Amino acid sequence: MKSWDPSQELFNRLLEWLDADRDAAGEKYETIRRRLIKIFTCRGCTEAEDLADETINRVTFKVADLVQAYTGEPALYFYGVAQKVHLEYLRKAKSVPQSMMPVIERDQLEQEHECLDCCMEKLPPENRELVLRYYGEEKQAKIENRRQLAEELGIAVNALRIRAYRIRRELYDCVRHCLDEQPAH
Amino acid sequence: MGELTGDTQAEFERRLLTEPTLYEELEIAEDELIDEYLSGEMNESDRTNFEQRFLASEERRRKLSFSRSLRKHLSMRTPPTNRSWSLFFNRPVALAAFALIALAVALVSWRVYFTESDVTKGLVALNAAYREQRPLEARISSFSYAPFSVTRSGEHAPVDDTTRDRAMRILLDAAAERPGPTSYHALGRAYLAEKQFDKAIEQFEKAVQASVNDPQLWSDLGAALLEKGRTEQSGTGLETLGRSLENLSKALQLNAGQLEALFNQALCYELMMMPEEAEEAWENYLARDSDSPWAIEARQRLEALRQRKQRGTSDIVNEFVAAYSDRNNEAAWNLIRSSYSSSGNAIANSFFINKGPNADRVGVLSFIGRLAQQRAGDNYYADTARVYALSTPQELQDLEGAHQQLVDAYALFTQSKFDEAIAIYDRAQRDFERLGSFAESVFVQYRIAHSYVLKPDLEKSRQLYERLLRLCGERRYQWLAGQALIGLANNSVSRGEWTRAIAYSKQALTLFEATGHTDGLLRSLIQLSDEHENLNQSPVALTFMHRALAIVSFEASEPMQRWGIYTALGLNLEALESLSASAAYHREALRLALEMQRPLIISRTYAYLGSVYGRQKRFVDAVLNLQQAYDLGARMGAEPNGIDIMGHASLQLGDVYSAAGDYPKAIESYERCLGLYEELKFPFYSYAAHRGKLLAYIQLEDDISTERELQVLLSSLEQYRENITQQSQRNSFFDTQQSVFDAAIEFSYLRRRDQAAFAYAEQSRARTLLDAMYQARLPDGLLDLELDNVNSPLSLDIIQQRMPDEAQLLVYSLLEGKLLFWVLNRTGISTAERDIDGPALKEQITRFVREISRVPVPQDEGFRDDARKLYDLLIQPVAGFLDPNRALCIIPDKTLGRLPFAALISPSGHYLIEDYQLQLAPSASVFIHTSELAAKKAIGEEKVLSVGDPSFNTAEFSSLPRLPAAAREAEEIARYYKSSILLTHERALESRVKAEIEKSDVVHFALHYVADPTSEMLSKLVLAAEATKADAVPARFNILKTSVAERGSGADGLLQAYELYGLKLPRTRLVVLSACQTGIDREYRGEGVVSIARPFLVIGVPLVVASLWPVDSEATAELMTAFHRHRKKSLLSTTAGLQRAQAEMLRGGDPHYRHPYYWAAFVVTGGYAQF
Repeated sequence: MKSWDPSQELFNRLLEWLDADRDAAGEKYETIRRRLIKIFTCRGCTEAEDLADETINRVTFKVADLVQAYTGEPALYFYGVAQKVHLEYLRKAKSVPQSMMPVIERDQLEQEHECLDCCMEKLPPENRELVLRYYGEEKQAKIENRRQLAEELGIAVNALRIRAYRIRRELYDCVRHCLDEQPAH
Repeated sequence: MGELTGDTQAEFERRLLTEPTLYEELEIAEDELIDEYLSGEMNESDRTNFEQRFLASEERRRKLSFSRSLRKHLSMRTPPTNRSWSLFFNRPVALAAFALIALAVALVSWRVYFTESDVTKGLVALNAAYREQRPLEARISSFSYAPFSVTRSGEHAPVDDTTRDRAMRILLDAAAERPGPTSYHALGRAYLAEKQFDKAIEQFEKAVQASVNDPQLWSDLGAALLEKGRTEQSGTGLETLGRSLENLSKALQLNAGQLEALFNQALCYELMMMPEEAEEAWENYLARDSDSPWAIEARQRLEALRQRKQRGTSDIVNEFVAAYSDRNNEAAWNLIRSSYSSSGNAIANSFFINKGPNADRVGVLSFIGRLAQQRAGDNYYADTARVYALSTPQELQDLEGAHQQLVDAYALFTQSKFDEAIAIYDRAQRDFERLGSFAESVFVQYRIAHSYVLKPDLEKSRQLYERLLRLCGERRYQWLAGQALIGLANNSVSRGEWTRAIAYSKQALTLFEATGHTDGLLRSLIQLSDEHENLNQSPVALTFMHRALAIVSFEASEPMQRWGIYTALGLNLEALESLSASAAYHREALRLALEMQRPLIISRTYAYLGSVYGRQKRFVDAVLNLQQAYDLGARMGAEPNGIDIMGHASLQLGDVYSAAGDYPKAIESYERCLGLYEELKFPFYSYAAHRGKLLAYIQLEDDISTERELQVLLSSLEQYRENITQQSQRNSFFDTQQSVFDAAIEFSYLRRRDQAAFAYAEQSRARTLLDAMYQARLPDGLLDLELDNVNSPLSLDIIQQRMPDEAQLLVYSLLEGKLLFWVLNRTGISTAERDIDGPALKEQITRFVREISRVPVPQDEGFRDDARKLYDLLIQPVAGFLDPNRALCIIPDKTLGRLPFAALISPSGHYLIEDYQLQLAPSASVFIHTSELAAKKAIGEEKVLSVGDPSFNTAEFSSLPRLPAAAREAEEIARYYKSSILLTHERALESRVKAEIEKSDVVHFALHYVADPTSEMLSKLVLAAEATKADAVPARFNILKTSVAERGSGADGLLQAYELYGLKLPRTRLVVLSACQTGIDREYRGEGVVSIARPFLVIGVPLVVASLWPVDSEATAELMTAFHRHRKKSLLSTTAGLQRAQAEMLRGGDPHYRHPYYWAAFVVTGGYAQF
């Protein structure tokens, strides 16, 4: 992989290429990066973030040419480069370990539980209750429970699913933030 | 989780980058996968994949950890009551449609998200097309309920054609553009709805390979097989239904509540005539779905089943009395002929011990007697009625007493107390004789003989049955004569005399077909099924059972008849690996057995069921059932039948322990079996027990015991060879026994006893052909060769001594994990071995043959990689031992018999045919035999019979084109020979060919060859039809019904394999079969490939040139013309001539013909020859 980063100037040109509006460009950049990470993750790469950054760097170096010559959807150009980066990664990759099950220390678990309790309390009550009910059942009962919940809320099951996910994501970000602030052991 | 294929994955990833909502959808799906994993809902394979692949990223591991914490948090909190919601959400409550839930659940699988819109669109359209009436009775997943009905007018179900066509277009596009399990599955459903079952099955099977854990897929595959099986005739339908059940069971293993699978399973049980299993399955369905429209239909079917069962309990005696009173002969005879069982005729029996006036009894018996004489030519009841009419009151009372003894003895018989039963039967026989009722005394002899069969006392029962058959023949007691024949068949089976057994059973079947006795028909069909099953001819066995099912009425038939049918079907389907169907039939049989309370029947059923459970790896259930079987015998103490029961159960227990890997316990069980049967002097199961012991000792690496068992088994196998005298029976029987020979070969080879290993290989190979070459005949009424002698194969020393100098043999033994090679010539022998992955090699050969045998496109070089790999595997290990100056004769083994060795490519880039003159022989002994025959025939100038492009009956073979190139080929070839007979077009009559062939040295056929799927004896060379059609043999006819009169008269224009066996070819030295796939009809382990080339070898032609696949007519004409030119102009031998012709083509000016498809199909089979 290349080890140098593009200059700020090149990076600015990249953003311009993505969108004339700076804020919108920043948003697009973030979206593309997040999705590239997801693609590499789904392909089983352990260093998904690095690979996404490497992809972006390579596109950034090419941006001058792209502005002139490339007329398609920028995200798809990133995709083409990502495939090459992935191929190179595969050639260099070491064998994948047998199991990726995380080994988590007991203290760390307790910390996470404490953080979660705390984050739960920070949620608006209706969101908290929704999480409790949405994720409260398993297997067959889960389906019926969610159907009933959607009915009570007057929304479709899929809309409920998205709503629950967003609250869960909020909780997750909160827990990550909380853990980062904990003193290291 | 890494399960997407390359293109599919790329498509998904592109959409992920460009579609706004997909990312969030994927995140949700990931959360749901994590939850699924933590709640233990994931199956084993997904779980492993999840841990190894999904958790590869740090971010996902963090999410997993978070989800754990969330679960813990939730488990410590009580969810709020429903009422609290109104506090937070003041919105109108809308009804969430059930369909939306289904959609949401489907969306969980992010792996298929990208195709979902197309596929969903297609499926919605498909569903809409059939909304008025569903196309099939079976349930197709994702189809909403619509009623189903069958119209007698044959009208199709109402369907919206436009919408259906649209659905088909969308789904075809989805499968083409985004191939994968989701699109295949959807397209399969569309084909299924259109009743294109094979196409549907193909799509489902492709989908299942990529998505093995999808219960809906398995259910739909089961549905397709169910509907296909319903349409198929003969035993094939049963086989397909068995496969359907297997797939439905798989669906239910993955999801016990899969409603489509439950529904289809119940339907399948009904179709397979398992009323109790069907009833239980419908109940099971209704327990999970009680109020949908499907449930209403299920309830109706359940109710109908119950009503049919109740109707079946009507009183046949009263029905008969009514028919007798009305003098309704038809109805009365139908009741009589279907009321027989081993205790006699139930209707007549009810009048023997009768409290009413004798005049009535005599009247009824006379009526029955008259009907039986008129309808079945059976004198039994007429004779009996006369005795009753003339008897005094005292004699009548004594006759009643004798009948009471029969009843008592039969009760003991059913309880397996055979000695006690025989004692009472003896007394009854004496009484009947004393009272002058000869017919009834003969009936008692049948009962005694039957008791001895089951006791078992083989010698005594055979004597009695033979006597019975003679007596019945003299007196024309037809039903009893049929019972004697079945008894003799049974007796022959117990002695391993299969051919004789089948002959007896067929006689019985013919007799009962004439008389119409239902019980006799069923028993003969079951007996024949059992016999063919034991000879590894399950499809034939199922054909008999299909007929039996058509006869029997499951509401009214005797429990014993139904038990026999269920049991036979269970055994047939077990052999075909349809274990779910097999187990279901045995369970159905067990219910009847328990109802009948007959220990022998109950124990056998437990044992069969246990055996199937063992094959399903349900070892606990297997052992429990077998223990039940064993205990029934143990409770009978020293009774011979108790010993039989224990012995039989011990054998099955041995198999189960062996399958479970407990070899010491397996051996213990087999030894117990052998000991118990030794006590009875009943050797029937001895071979199976020794075979079980052998396999267990091999696993335990106990060399001394392995050696001992091998000797016992090989000697038994030679005994079987003597007792199985028909070609097809022997081939199929030894196909299943090849594993014993393979064990012997490997065992000896690993202990460096190469000569012994070679001898075992030769002992197993093409033995039937060898015997047929020495002596065989085609008996009247049979489409099979009868082999009168068993000939020993030649030893290695003799083979070497008699090897032609100019030849060398390359002999293969393809074992499970090892390939053995022998290279031998007159002066030496070399051996080599190679470890192999058997299934992978088979797959590689199949792929190579498939690749090479289809019309190539320009630059088609796809076969080369496998050609090199196969050379490396099959030739390279012995390349150093092969002499390029000697003709190379290959003796292939198993699947190698299908391989075009000529097309293998060496590391130097040569095809094997460029380096060697190649030929094949089925065994080394056959090679020597045919080489010596060739030497005797290699005298004098050759006269050729050249046959090309016959004017065949185009109405009968409308799919076959005429072959102008074949006519040119035949004409050209005839010119190379000084003496020739050319028969082309309308001159190529069968009668002319038969007349000329016997006077020719070389025969060349350039024509169509049509292989018959039912029997290789009916495969045919298609010649010109004679003018008269009246004598023509139908192209397909029932093998069992063929009589001499139906045999080919020479007028039908079809030279069939069985006709060839009747020819005498003292002069013919070479036959060239320049037609499609003349070298392979079918393949048996041990015997090798069987084809139309075989009859020529049997009748003394030492060399046959035949093809391995359907060939191109133009290229073949060129190849064959060159081949004969080299033989005659360059004076090359047959193998050298073919080699040069093939080499010319592969290097030739027409680049199109360089592909092996055009030249590698033809091989020389037989011995070495100078000509």
